[in-house]
Amino acid sequence: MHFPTLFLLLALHAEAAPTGAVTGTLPLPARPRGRIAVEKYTGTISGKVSPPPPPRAGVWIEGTGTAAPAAPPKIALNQTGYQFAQSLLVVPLRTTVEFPNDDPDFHNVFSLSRTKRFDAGRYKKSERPAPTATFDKPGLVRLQCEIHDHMKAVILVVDSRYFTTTDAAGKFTLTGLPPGTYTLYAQFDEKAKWSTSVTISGGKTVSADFTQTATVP
Amino acid sequence: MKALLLPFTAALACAQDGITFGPENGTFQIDIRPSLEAVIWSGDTPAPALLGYDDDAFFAPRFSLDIDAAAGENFTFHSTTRWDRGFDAGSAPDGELRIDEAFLRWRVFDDQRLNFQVGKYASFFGSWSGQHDFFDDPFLLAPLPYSQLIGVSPTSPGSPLNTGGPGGGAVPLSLKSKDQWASMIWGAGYGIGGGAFGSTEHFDYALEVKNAALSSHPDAWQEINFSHPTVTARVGYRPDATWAFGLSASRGSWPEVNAVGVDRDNLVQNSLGLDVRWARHDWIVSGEVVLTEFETASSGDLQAASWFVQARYKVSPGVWLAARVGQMLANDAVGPGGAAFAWQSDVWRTELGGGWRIRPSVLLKAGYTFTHTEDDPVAGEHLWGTGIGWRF
Repeated sequence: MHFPTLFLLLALHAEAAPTGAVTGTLPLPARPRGRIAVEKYTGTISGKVSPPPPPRAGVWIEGTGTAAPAAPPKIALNQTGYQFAQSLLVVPLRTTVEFPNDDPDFHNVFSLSRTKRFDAGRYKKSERPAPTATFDKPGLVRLQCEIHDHMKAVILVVDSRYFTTTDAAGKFTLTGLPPGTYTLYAQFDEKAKWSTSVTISGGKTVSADFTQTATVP
Repeated sequence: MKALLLPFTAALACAQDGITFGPENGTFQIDIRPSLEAVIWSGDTPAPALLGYDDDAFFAPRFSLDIDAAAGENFTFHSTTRWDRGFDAGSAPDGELRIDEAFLRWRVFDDQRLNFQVGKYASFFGSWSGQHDFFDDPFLLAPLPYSQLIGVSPTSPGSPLNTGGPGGGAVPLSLKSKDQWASMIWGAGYGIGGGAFGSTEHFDYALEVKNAALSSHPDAWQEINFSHPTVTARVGYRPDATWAFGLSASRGSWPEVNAVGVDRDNLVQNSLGLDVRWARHDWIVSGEVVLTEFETASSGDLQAASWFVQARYKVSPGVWLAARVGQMLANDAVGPGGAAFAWQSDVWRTELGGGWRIRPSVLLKAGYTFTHTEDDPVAGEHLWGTGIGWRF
């Protein structure tokens, strides 16, 4: 068969296959409260400090055909009100994340995690280009600001193109999944991890049972 | 080996955030964070700066307990309690327990426009006191204006000058007991008092009234006695985050004890400081100029000037190098016969430092300091320091 014709048939077949979804609720552990957001000495905060963003967990699937894309789009994680805009960001492998500063004072995002060690240096409000880091190894990356000790966030790097985050109550819905059997993973921090098997077929939404904890590789 | 290292690794992973207490509704919260800093000093003796030991090497551990408490959105309390071998390493070789900071702060509005603070806390003068914590300061030693003895004695206000040397001039301070002499500014100046401060996007200000002069010893900071107060103010301007300029002024009685025939309120330390900071990406460059004047009863006004410039550069994530140079100069005092004589030797100091933040909660620092004091052949010049800080 002529190659373009085969490609077209395969594409039509893929388009015709109804995608499904998986939904569930994670038993998120009680998250330790962040440190009190005050500066011991003056000079590093000149605006209003926002409350920290609510805690979330990351959810993703792995299986045949789910690997992260070769060139995922760039994602931004802003610093606003002397907080990271999100407490947890899930990104596919090879994603470049930029860190725009929306505050009038310097921020200095850094991570000394084994998954990704980087230091964005001091950068000011609306500075362009914003500092970036590319995450080319799956795992959990803890972010901090060198200047503002209370600022914390997590980037969860996954080798998958199907991922989402929970809400603060642990609820999630992962949509657009092609038919198949996959391993569904969820992770809150280094300790709270879950995995289970899910089968997607007929465009249905299936529920995931995360009452049993398991190990994320 | 892996089994042996596992508990250590686990402890490191748990470290950094301390312990937090408080109800879920967030109306009240207490954060407790212990930390350990351990520095090994070595080099010439007697040790330069304010270090108080006479050995070739000195081990200076410091255990700290930081407590932060918040009630509602606008009231916070902070305290720092330390056990170490002296506020200046070696000044209490058998160890001492101190409350270095304990203050209550009221933030009037949601932003930083107006805050009131009362208690024991670091001085608002200059910019260094705001970054003197182990994890914030790229060096192990305070800058020259904050850590160099000068020849005026706040414990002998009747005859405060450093005399008795050749020709009636100054005796090398390195030969004298360090606890008798002042520094232009003694460390972070944890005096007791109260004040107001605030910040907007481009300006900040601070005003405080404290119990002790900038030059006073740590012992004087503890006394709850405001009969001879010191008033300090600072205004700052930041065109944007890259540049910061500050102008500080302070005035207060410098004697720490009473003496017959001496009116302490007439013996005033006046200080003026200018600080500048430029930062961008991996660089932070900053400097200060401090001018100070000690009014005396019969020897004229003793004036000293000191400056320093320092730079820190991050060479890779968590690793930085730093350098600092500083100088101190002084005028001549008026002797009993009206002749001028040197009351303070000129001093040069050059420092190199490096740091490696192994983990967010663990920092290794090392530094070398060369201090040259004019006309003081016995003063220690070379000083090496290596330290580790660990926040639990």
